[in-house]
Amino acid sequence: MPDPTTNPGANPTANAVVNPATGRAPLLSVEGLRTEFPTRAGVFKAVNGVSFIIDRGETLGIVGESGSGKSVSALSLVRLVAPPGRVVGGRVMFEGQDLLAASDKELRRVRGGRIGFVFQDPMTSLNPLMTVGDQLEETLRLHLGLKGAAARGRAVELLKHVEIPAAESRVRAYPYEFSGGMCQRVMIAIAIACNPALLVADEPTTALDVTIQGQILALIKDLQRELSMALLLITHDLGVIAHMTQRTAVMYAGRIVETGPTSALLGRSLHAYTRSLMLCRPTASDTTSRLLTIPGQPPNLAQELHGCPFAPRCPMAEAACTERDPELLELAASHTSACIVAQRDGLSAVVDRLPAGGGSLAGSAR
Amino acid sequence: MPHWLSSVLGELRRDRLATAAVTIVMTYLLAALLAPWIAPGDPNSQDVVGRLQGPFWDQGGALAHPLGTDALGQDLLSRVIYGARASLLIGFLVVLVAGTFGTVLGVVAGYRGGRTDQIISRITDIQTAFPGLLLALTILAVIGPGETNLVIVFAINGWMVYCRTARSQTLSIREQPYIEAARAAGSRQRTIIFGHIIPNLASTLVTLATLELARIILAESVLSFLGVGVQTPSVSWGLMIADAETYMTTNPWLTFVPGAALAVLVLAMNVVASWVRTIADPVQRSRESIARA
Amino acid sequence: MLTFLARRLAYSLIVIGGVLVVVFVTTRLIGDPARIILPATASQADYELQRSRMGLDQPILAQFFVFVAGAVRGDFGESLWDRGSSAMGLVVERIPATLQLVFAGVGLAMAISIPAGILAARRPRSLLDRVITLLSLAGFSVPNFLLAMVLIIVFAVGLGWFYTSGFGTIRHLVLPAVAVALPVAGRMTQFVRSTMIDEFSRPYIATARSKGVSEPAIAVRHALRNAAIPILTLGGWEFTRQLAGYTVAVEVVFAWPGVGQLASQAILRRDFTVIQADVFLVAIIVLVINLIIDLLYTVLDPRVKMV
Repeated sequence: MPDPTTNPGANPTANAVVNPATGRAPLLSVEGLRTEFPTRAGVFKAVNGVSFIIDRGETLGIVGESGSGKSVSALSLVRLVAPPGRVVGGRVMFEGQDLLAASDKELRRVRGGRIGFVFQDPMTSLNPLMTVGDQLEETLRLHLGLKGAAARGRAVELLKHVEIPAAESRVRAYPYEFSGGMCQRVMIAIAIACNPALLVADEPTTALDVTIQGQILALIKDLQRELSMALLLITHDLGVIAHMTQRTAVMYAGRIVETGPTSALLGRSLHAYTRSLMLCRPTASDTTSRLLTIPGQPPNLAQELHGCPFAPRCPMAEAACTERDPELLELAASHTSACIVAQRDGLSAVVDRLPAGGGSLAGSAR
Repeated sequence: MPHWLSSVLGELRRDRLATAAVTIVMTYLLAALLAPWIAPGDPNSQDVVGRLQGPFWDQGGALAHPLGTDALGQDLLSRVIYGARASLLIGFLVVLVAGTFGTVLGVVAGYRGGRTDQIISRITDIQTAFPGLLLALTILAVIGPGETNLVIVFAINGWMVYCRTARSQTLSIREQPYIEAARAAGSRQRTIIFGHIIPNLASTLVTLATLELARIILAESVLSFLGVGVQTPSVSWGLMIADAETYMTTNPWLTFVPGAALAVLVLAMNVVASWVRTIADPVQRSRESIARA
Repeated sequence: MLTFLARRLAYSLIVIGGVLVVVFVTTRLIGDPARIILPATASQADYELQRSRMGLDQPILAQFFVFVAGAVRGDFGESLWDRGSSAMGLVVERIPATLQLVFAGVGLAMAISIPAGILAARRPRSLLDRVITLLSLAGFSVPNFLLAMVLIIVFAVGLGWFYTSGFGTIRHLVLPAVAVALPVAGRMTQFVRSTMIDEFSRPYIATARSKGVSEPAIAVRHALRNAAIPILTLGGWEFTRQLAGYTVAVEVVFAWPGVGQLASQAILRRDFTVIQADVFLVAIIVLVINLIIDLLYTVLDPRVKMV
């Protein structure tokens, strides 16, 4: 998949992004997305030229450490970044509509209507003073015009759909009466209430118990198949990526550094950063700590970056890595990487120097 | 220059409003301290012939009395300057007494916990529920007006806010790992309280004290206005405004001069307090100052 | 629920008891009512007679019990100044005017501060926020009696729109209510602003946005609803504070026939029975209002379980 931003001349008609694999316009195409937060220390470039596409019904995973810009990227799609943060560049085409150029009113129709969102912490993501029914019905009223008994009936249906027992009575419950897993089911019910074409799930299981995580992921997967939604799954957990997605993009320092089919990306990674992530991943026998730790700190995004942003922490960095800015290039079938060393020496160089750790991920079932 | 001072000055330079406010408060402090030397005359020297003069730029005004004179021919500028003395002195004394008392009680309650905490917290709650200003009026009516009595009444009425703040902060500081470590290492209680807890309370207490100072100065003006506060021959802005009430319609200037002196000082103090709070509270700071654009 | 009410009531009784003790101690032990009633020329014999007539020669505890027994019935004796009138009767007569002023003042303050605070909180540190913050600081930096005088000078004397003093019509009420309201509005705006900034940063707001809820609906239906309890608490606190003495100076300036003006006169006249009745009644009203606010919590927040 050629990256649109790296080859600006490849798309002469700006309005017609075509997925070469399908020959059709994708459901969502993002080009050169840039989001900034002005701070005292300078302009913090949280998302710096991110591009990707998602087809109808497809699942794309975005993986990266916290602060890599993966959540901000997702929020930027429908301009949900909280002020003072703002989307300063790029184009987001969704169902033929340019979302960054859309009016606030048009955007509100997309949010919750055509694109549903599920966030990280279900306990705080629901309004504590509204019943779960009222929160569901708010979406139904805004997008489908449902009111009264019709809305209540549909809300109960949706709660049943996300497998909440005794939905008829729980619809009147408040979030504090629910467990974390149940709250996340409610969030999912809200997100799918209007049969969206795309579900954005931002670390949907991070705040949950390990036993609940699997259930929630399975629910999302089932609903996706049933409603033929596309899914944008954001996570720091490579296991979740392996389990859930067909394609994956790896983000670092506000950029996408590698994209490819999930099995290829995890099995034969073409970027030193992705390799490092996998090295840090606990093995199957060690499920206690899931936090990714790579020595060193990500770069300060408020400063101008030169060269590969991962170079300071990279075990195989060379002079070339700090001298020029890397570009995303297709190194294997539909598999792009911005790793300067991999681009020059190929896959073997990366594999030799950084053996993948943490057991085999590709296709590992959880 | 010590490091903390230069960093505070650095912060100050970023905020022009706060700079102005600090300058104003400093000016008032200097005026209060140096009143006998900078006031053009004796605040109580009366001049029946030259009464109710306007300010010098007005018809009938003269440079001898730059802000004019009141109904007894007393020089308004001198009275305003001496008024700053009464307000600031009473304010500082009350903050000192109530602040010390309340902070000590709050730290003890938060640190000791258990019964001590319960008793102190109950007393604080109950006294907070008292109709404070009304009781202050009552007590002053009985024990008589005057500066000393004002300080006593305000201190009795004003310690609770320090106690509550110090208590809740102590509670959270006490659970910090480094305090537990100090305790485990056998540090004495007094060392922990004065070496660790009080310094951590400092920035909150400074903010609180600034706000309270402003509040006390306002309250002093109210009580003096009502006739149970500062008494002649002492000079107070509230008293000046009370004297001006009779001439409110004919000589509004007499109200405006002490009124403006009072409002500007209190406003400047409140600006300083809100600025101290922003620079001292990292959470508030990141939330609010992230947007410089 | 019942235990909660019982505990709050017990607590209120302790406060009332405390107020009675303070009032008793200050007016009976520190002050000397007999001396005040008598002319300065009265003889020692007259003084002794007056003391025994007022029960001041009894043991302190006995005096206190008589005092409390009277207080429970609302009986503080007759006014020392206005002989023949019951002290409590004088105070009760004046309560409606003060309640009217406080309701109008605090209501106006809330009507100003809630929208202003929300507007400021929408964009912290924006120009609008800075202007609102500075104005609100200015609001509570001006004492209400000064404000009252400035309002009279400008709007009553200068423009002639309202009356300088008196009671009865809306044209009488506007200026005193504004004088009471602006300092309260200043404090409350600051509070609404910081509470709303807190709420706007919470995850459920992001959820509401992601559902396509419009910004005004997010501010009111989601954020303000969650901020309502602290805002209401502060509103109630301001209300009781105004009742408990803060309107005194405004009532004096506008000759408003409320308990504040009565208290101020009573203090200058050393009319201790009226002062006692005044403090006692205000303390009770304050506690009743606090109780009502506690009950409102349960309506506003389903999580508050009263046990």
